[in-house]
Amino acid sequence: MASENQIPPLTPAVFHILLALSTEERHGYGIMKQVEKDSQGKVSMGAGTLYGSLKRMLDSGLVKESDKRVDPEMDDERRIYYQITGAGATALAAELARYQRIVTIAQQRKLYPKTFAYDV
Amino acid sequence: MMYEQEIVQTLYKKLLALYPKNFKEQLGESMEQTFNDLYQERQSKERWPGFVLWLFVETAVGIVREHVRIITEGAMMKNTTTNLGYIALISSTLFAVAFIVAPMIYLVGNLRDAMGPFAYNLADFLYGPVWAASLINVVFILRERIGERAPRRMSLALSATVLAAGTMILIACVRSANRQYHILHPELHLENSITVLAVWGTLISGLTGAAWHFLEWALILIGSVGWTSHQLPRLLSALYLIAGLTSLFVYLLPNTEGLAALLGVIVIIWQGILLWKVKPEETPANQADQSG
Repeated sequence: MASENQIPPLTPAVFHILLALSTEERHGYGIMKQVEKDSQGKVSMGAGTLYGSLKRMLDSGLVKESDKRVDPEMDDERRIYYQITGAGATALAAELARYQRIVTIAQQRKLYPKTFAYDV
Repeated sequence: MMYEQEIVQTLYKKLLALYPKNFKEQLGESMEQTFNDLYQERQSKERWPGFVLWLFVETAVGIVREHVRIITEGAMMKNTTTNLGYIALISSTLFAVAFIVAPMIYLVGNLRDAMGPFAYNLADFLYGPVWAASLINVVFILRERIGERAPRRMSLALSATVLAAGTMILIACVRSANRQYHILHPELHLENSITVLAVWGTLISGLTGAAWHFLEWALILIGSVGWTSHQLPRLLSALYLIAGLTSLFVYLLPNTEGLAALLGVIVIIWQGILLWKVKPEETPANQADQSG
């Protein structure tokens, strides 16, 4: 397995998609909804961005297509599901570790979310 | 309402058709489903026409991005291998014509003939731009085909080819400029000036030697890639190496230029036919990959 330092940083779109797929397989619409939820509505991904990123992720083996099935919470149409692969999970873990390190550095420097905010 | 939905979905489907073929085949159906899901979700909400418009624009941007990516990553080249094969064949033929016809004109041509200036201009055109463009074409297409096996060596080979081609164009320009000056100023009798002849001879010989030197590097690099990657027949790889080594000594032994040119023609013609006839998936290494 590639070490954490060998895995290049992920783009925000790829990171959010991997995060959305980390707990369960999802179809395109499901990924979009989960990304919105994870980012508390701050990241809204369009189909062009989502599928452009998915294409790259499929090509590089970070995700794979799962079977086609009906989403019980939606209509009867069979949808294509996507699932994270081992390489995808490793890349996500490496990215999270990077974020963790950055947060640790920020904490050591006593930089907190409101450090640069001017509360009047 | 249903009618309106159908129109929008049909329009979106038509928009998706503009994606590159591979992308469309792999993700088109899923994209369509996602669009329908989003449409259903937003239909009942306010400002959904704006949302639908945003989806169309965002998807259109995605389409442009995918096409740009294909062009920049060279994937377009892989989709047009048939055309590239033809281009390689035509280029190698032109290269051979340039290599054979131009030196013959230089050897037997007479500038004082009625057709003399035209023949010499043609020779310069063949031995300059045509020689350069056709050689670059063949090496570029070869790099597209076997470059993945040895990207650094093939990139170096292409760089050396560009330098050789550039030098040959420079030689053609110098030759042409010198001849025009002779024609424009016959009263100077420059053909009898030892100084002019010495400078002229040294300049052209030096530049020709440099062009052959760059060509030698290109041929040797291609030969070594062909040999080690098994992407070219052994004999062709060996000929590349021999032609390269012969080219290396043209600057020391100008008499070997004819032999180097002959080997160069054989190698490039063979290469052009191979690029034309053999599809990338049929190369020996790829077959080995598939079986192993």
